[in-house]
Amino acid sequence: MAERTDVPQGTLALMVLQTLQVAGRLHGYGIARQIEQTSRNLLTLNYGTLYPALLKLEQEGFIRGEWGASENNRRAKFYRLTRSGRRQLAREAATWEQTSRIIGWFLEGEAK
Amino acid sequence: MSRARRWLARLAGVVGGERRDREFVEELEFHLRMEIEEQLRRGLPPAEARRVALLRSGGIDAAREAYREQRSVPLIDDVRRDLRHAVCGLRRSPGFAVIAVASLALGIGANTAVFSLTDAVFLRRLPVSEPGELVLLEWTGRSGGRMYDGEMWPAVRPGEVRGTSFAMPFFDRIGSASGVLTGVFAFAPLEQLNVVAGEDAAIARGQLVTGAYYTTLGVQAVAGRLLEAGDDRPGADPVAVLTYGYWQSRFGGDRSVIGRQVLINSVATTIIGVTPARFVGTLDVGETADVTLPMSMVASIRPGSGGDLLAPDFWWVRIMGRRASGVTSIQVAARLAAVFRNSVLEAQAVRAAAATDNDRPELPRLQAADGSRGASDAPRDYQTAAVLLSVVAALILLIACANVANLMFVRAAARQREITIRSALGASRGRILRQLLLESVLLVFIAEAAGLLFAGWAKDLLLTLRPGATELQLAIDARAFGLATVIGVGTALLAGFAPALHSMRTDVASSLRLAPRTMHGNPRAAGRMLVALQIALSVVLLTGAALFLRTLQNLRAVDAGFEQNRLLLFRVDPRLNRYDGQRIVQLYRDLQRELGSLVDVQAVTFSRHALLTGGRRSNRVDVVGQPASANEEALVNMTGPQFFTTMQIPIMAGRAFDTQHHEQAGAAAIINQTFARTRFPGTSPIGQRVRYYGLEIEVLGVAADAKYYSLRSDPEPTLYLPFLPYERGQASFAIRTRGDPMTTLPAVRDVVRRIDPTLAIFDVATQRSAAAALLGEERLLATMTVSFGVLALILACIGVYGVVAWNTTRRTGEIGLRIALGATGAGVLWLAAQRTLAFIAIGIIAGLAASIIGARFLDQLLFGLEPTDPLSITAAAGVISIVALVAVLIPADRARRVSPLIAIRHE
Repeated sequence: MAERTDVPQGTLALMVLQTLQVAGRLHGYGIARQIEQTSRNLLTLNYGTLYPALLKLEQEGFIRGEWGASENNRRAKFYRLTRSGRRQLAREAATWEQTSRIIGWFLEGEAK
Repeated sequence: MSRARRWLARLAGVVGGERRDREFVEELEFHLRMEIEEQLRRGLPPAEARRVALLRSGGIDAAREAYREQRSVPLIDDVRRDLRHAVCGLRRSPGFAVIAVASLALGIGANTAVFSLTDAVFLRRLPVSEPGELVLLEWTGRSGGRMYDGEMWPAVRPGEVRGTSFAMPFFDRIGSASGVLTGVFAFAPLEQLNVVAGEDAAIARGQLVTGAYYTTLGVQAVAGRLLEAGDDRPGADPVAVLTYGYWQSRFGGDRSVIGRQVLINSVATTIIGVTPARFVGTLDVGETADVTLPMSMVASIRPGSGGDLLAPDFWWVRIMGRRASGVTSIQVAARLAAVFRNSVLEAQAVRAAAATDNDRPELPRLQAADGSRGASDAPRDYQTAAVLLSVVAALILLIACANVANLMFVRAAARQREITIRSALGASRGRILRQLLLESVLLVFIAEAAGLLFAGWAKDLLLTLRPGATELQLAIDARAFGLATVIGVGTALLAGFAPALHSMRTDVASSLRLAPRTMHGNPRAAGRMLVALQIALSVVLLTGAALFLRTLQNLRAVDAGFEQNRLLLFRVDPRLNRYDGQRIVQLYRDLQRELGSLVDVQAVTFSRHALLTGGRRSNRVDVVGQPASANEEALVNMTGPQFFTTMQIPIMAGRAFDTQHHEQAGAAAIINQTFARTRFPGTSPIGQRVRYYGLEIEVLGVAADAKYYSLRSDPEPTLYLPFLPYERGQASFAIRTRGDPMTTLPAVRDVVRRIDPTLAIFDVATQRSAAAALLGEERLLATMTVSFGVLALILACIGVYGVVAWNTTRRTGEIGLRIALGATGAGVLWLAAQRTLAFIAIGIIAGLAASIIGARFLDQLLFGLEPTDPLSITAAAGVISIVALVAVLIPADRARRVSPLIAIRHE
């Protein structure tokens, strides 16, 4: 399978969860837009990356998708966090913060 | 945990894939549309907006592939797709699928059924604890000299006989003298018991066992309790144990019968328990008991014979025991040898006084044989048939496998091009192989299911063809099915795999370019070899079928010497109802008179043994005034009034019995022509005297030879005596009806009920059906070999057809070219057929040779023809030649009609 992701490995799930935490209920396109905006358009997401990730999160039970009407009255699949998704988000966020802190120390150390 | 959940979800994703795919597409479309709108809002023209949107979103197909991989398990999905492909492939060539499935199914089914039967009859051990510890006592001695009554049969060595019957006194002595056996018991079949439960009288089969029977075997009751030592004491209350099957069929499995009293041969007997379903006793197949009684009841159950049963020279019980731990069978036999010797000497002492035998045979030897299968004599009786059927079934499986292999080869060759194209388009080797194998596997699975169904049907058929075997409760043998399946599956996989591998190796480019020509070597040669093998096997099977068919035909055409049509038979044993001598005579006279007065009845008679039902009596009969030669045996039958007129056996000389002869013993005898010819050569037997059991009886007449107990045997010297003065036992009635005998049956039953409602009649049959039952084994063999033979022929023809058809297709181009160059139709036909015809010829010759060699082993089973019967062999070879020729010509004819233009363009 060709991976053409511009999103750093392993961070997409966290981004999706965080986005849904903030936005509540969002369809795939909205999630992609939101992530791009939050990243100041440094990241781009294509379907091949986003939808398998959404499916995986859904399979793991962290998010749940349901069909509904979009803002312009089209049928769209909306995702929202589940309770275990919230817990997962807290866990992953903590792990990520710790990781980035550690990486930060290394980089600072290098700089000194 | 979430990982496990994901996998569960993915596994669940295997099903319902189409709906999810649709939803995903919808989701993507929504995404794309939103993107486009976004771009439009930015002011891009529609076409440009769409282009940018697509660019930003990435390839739809790649997304779908990634999504699908995440959704479920890709391998399962792929296999599913391949499976659908395989189903389509098989549907596209239904002929191939049906033939391959049918071949395998028949092969697997036939083997499973035959092996299940063989196993049940020969190999199955008693369903008791540690059957390997059980021993069955038997003896071996010189034949000749009648020191003991009882069953015996030829032993392995010529001139010896083997027996498993012993005298009761012998058993009584080993019971106490033992030490090598932890338990020992005697048992004997009781042919008929009249069991009256409530209003209902019916005959059941019984057995007598000594007290330790169930405890030694280690069998537990499924209801009530089983016999114990206390039930087998003189004066104990009469009790009976039912076999599970009988409990079900007669009492509907009603638990309340336990503790109930029934009349067994007029003895009020309490039913105490039921044995487990799978335990049918230690007696032979065909004599298994419905009702088991303690040995102590012998005198009351068989009144009048009690004294004989304990005599040292009446050997009638079988003895089994359980070895103590660490004791060998040899030690058991050695320990009991002295007791046995005394028992034999005792028997000889009794006999020496009565008999005139002057040759004293050496004493028989005692052995402790394997008792793990009970006292089963089946191996002796049905060995040949069972071995033969197993061989035939194995041959069928072989032919079926050859056929499947052949079909697979042909098919793989035909798909060479498809495979090459697929691999050129980038399908991986594994993928193509998987697909081809999957097709084989699918085929095999269908075949297995069909084979299982066929086996179930075939085993029922086998059971109906083998009378007395219905209590075997034959189950499909898992091992047999497994083995046959493994062979079939192996063949199919190998045959599917080999050509696939072969085609993988071929160079894609050259194969595409030259596809129809480059399949060389293997498949064709292998196919033809398989055809030759199939034809040879078919010849063997069809020759066998012809031999058995002619045997059956010969046996049916045998002149029985009496009129077999419109004859109704039944047996009755008034002793079971405690009739004594004079009452029995009265009963038989009443029955004959009353039955004779029915409108549909022409004549009524009775005799000790009905003709052609398998029963017989054989005794020593000397001619008075002739020197006593060694062992002059004659068949004996006791006949009631009107026997010869009812059976329509003509009296050739002298006259038949008249009323006075039926009143007193010793007055007269009638002999058959063979008796007259062999024992009174050159003189008239009328008025001469024969000695039978010390009585000197005058010969009154000579009757025409008639078959007595077997259609096969030549007429033997037979002595007819009037029934009533001699016999006080059971009789077999024969009623000559005006119409169909079975329509007279209700009236006959009414008559019997009117005379005595508690009298049970049994073995009701027409003479025709009784005689047909004697031919059970022959019919089994004929039916099986004919069906197998036809099956083999069909399979072989399919093989032939396949090879020629494939060959023709493969050479279409060449043939077209030849026609274009002026080849004649006949020439082309010959071209297409010649190689295969040569192989068929080889097959037929090999098959004939094998038949001639193999048929020698069938000698014993045939009747009225030689194993090398030219008619049978010619017929088999002829049928195969014709059918194979047709199977060659039909596809070869297609070659003749090849249009050169199309053929060359085809290239």
